[in-house]
Amino acid sequence: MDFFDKILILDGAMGTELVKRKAPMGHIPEELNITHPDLIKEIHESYLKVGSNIIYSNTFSANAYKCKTSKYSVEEIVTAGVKNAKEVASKYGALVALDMGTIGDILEPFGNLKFDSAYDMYKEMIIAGKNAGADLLVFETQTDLLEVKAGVLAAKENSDLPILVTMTFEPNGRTFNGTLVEAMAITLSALKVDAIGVNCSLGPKELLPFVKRMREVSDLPLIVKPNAGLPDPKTGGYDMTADEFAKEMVPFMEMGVSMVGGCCGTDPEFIKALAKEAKDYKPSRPEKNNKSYLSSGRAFVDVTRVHVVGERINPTGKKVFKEALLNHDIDYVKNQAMEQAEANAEILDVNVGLPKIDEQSLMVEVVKELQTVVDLPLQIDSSDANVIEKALRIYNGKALVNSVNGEPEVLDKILPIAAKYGAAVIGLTMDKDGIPSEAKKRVEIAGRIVDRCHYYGIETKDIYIDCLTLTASVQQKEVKETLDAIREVKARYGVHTVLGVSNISFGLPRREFINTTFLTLAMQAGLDLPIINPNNAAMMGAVNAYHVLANIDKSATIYVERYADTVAVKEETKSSEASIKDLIKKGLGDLTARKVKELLETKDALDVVNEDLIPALDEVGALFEKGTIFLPQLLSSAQAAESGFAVIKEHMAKNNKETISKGKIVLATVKGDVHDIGKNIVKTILENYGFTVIDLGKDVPIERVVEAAREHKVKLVGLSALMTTTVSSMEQTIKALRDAGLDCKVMVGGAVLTEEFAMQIGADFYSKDAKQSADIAKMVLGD
Amino acid sequence: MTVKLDDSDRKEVLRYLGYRGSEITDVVEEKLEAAFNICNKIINVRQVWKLYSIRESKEGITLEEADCVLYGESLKKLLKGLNEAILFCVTIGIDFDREVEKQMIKDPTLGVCLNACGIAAIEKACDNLQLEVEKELGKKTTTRFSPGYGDLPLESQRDFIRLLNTEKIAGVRLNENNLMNPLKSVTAIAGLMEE
Repeated sequence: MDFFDKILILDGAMGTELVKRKAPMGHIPEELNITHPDLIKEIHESYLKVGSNIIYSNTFSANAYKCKTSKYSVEEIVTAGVKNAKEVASKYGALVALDMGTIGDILEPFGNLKFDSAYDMYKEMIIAGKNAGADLLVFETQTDLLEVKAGVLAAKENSDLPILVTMTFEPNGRTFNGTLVEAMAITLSALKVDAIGVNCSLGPKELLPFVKRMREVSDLPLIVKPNAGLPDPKTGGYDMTADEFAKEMVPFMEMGVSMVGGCCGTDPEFIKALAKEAKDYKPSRPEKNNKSYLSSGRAFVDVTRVHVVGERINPTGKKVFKEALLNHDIDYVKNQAMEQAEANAEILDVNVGLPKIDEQSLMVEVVKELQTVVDLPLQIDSSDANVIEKALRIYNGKALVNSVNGEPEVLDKILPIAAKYGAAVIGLTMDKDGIPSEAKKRVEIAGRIVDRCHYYGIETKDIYIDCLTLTASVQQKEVKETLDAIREVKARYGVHTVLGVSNISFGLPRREFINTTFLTLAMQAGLDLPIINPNNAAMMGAVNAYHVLANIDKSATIYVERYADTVAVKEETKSSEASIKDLIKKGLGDLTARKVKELLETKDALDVVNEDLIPALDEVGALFEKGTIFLPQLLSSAQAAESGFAVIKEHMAKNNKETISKGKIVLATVKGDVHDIGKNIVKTILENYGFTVIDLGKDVPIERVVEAAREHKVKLVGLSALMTTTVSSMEQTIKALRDAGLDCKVMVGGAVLTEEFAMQIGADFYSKDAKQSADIAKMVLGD
Repeated sequence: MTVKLDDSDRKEVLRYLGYRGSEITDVVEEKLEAAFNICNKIINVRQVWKLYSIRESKEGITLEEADCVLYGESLKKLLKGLNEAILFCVTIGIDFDREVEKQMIKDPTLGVCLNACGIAAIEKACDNLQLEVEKELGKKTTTRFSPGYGDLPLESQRDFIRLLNTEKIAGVRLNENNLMNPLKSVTAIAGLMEE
């Protein structure tokens, strides 16, 4: 179907027409497909009569979640819906789109709905719709781009029908869920749907800028289905007339959109007026857009200058990071991500590969969780094709895959996956013989990679070649080869380039000098994406300075914004005379850290912990218990102590001593519950008492708790539940732990629990607040 | 309509944090101030309300136009002798949830302060909505009553969400346990009293 051929007229509102006809509304209006087929057909026909070329079946809410209480199955409702529409549409030579609204449940990690369940629910609708004769598939009024992605994958993997997607935006250019207009257009273009656009929420005038923004970043045909203006807050009705609506739709047709129709408040009169206006226009096929875009669901990068890829999420050579992964400390990883985002990284590399770790499930979890705290596009870094596929599948946005190399087997394994999910690809200029020393050979390998990418449908703009950094102290004369190769691959193939920079300085003192200079040379040679540590001020400074000197940062606006009012070196402030105890009580983290550093010069680390840090925490805890201080104070003291502990840990790692842990505790907010703030408070306190917390997060399946307790051989499990309704899953979790024969105690807490209730559901301890959980931990695991 | 927290809300925020009158440290003062600022910057209030004629029935309160019963004695007691009520839903948006999520990792002290600000903000938004309705309808409203209060079952949340079409109008959805997303959202019923 060529959607650039002529403007196709869609239909108008279904709901508005049902209300007008006083249709009986049961659980969901889609039941009318079966109970009142003539009524539905009459509405369809009223649109066909006035010129609709495509009508939407009355199946908006006909998914398993919303049909749960209906006496009809999804298949029955969808089949009837599509058949009703087909029956009348065929008389007019019009087409029928299977209409799919949102599932209605909330996807992980903010909700409990699994990506795969969303996929299955859409799949069920799509198969039924296809079998009933639908000509197209349309996802509309969507607010979560990841949910749309589940639907689009279900559509692609279960049918060959054209896929249309329209989402619903608020005046700020985001959906309720935070999906950004451009992020939607970029991600869905990468997934190769057939047309994208907007529907509902606002009138034509308000939606025009969003549709223009879509065209800026996407070549796809565009769809516009606005409401009849803005709703009257008092009546909920719309007061735009059909002619006004049609007039306001003209700018869309002037800009060349392919499909127009109406949403809430529009009726056949509107569509009739619209069809009349549309006669004079044709869709326009946009010029090829040669920019490479990367996106998350909430933000995007168009690669037009140097963009820093943060390298910190990677366990290689990082002891603390490794330990965090082994202990399943996802918050640590999230913190690394937030820090890099604050340091102005624009893309984050994500690598969680470690021996003895289930890389696939960890990668999926980390990718999911990172998206709750950072908006940056991610770069999926793994050598395992399955890990890459799983991560790309659930990633909300258009990712970058790191990486392939010149080996045919690697290319043929990974490129089809990248192509399927619309990811951009990093290609390393090496093969089974290693990294060629000459630029010429690396350029040749790049050529092979580019050819193979093209073969699988990955466009030049989405290929990022890594010409590979060698170590200057070992291969000094080859430094130039890397730079020459960057220049040459860009000139010859028109690809983008990426480079891990810091390897250049291994074995040399003051590595920063070498690193920044090499980075600068590489940028001059045409490097687009340096992979560096964005927390390094000198490296970031080099990037920002380069943008000024290359006349990219006009009038040095960004440079001045970032560096005016900053001083080169921070002066060490004088240490405080106060005791650690006072500093911790006041919540002064920096001063606590400095004080600990001083103490370590004369005192053993363990003594500092047991004689200074822990007693301070104990005192704060006692004050909290008495009600003298309140929760934020308890937490600020815990955080101050944490700064102290961080110094101790660093000190011990330097002296090659084992880090201190008083034992491991598994914490989880039970299945079904998504309120985890209490659990997080408990975690902060426990960690500061020196316990290692294995935090399983919220809505944790029962088996997962049992597995973790077994795997980490913990003596204590802490469970939290906020709602009465979820206390039952707490009870089941306790029972499962007992049934598994694990030798561990269980403490529970949460708003609706009492001591008595806790005992009743089989817990060993009831913890009324975070302080008490630390007391229980001390009792069970020892001081 | 938007909501801004100011000094008059401080007491309420402190109450949610379990404050019982001791001296507040400088660090916590700073966090509180930061939490107020962040909260005011990121909340995005969305609301919807509808008017219903109500009738007391054996099991509870019937919403006439919707042909829907809200079960329980507690609601009957609240709405005794009244003929009308409003159903409403208010949320402060998903960005607030994201920010609390972030801060609970980065800076838990700020995180809990922010969370308390969110509670104050959503309550204030509900108060404002009730005032708005009172002005428009020329009638006073009773205290608001939400699913899960007293013996009004949490399951009735489904009816509130469906009748108010909250997903489309305010972006509020329910999970299978009848918990709302965004987390800081309120659904409630309030009776209308003749002046």
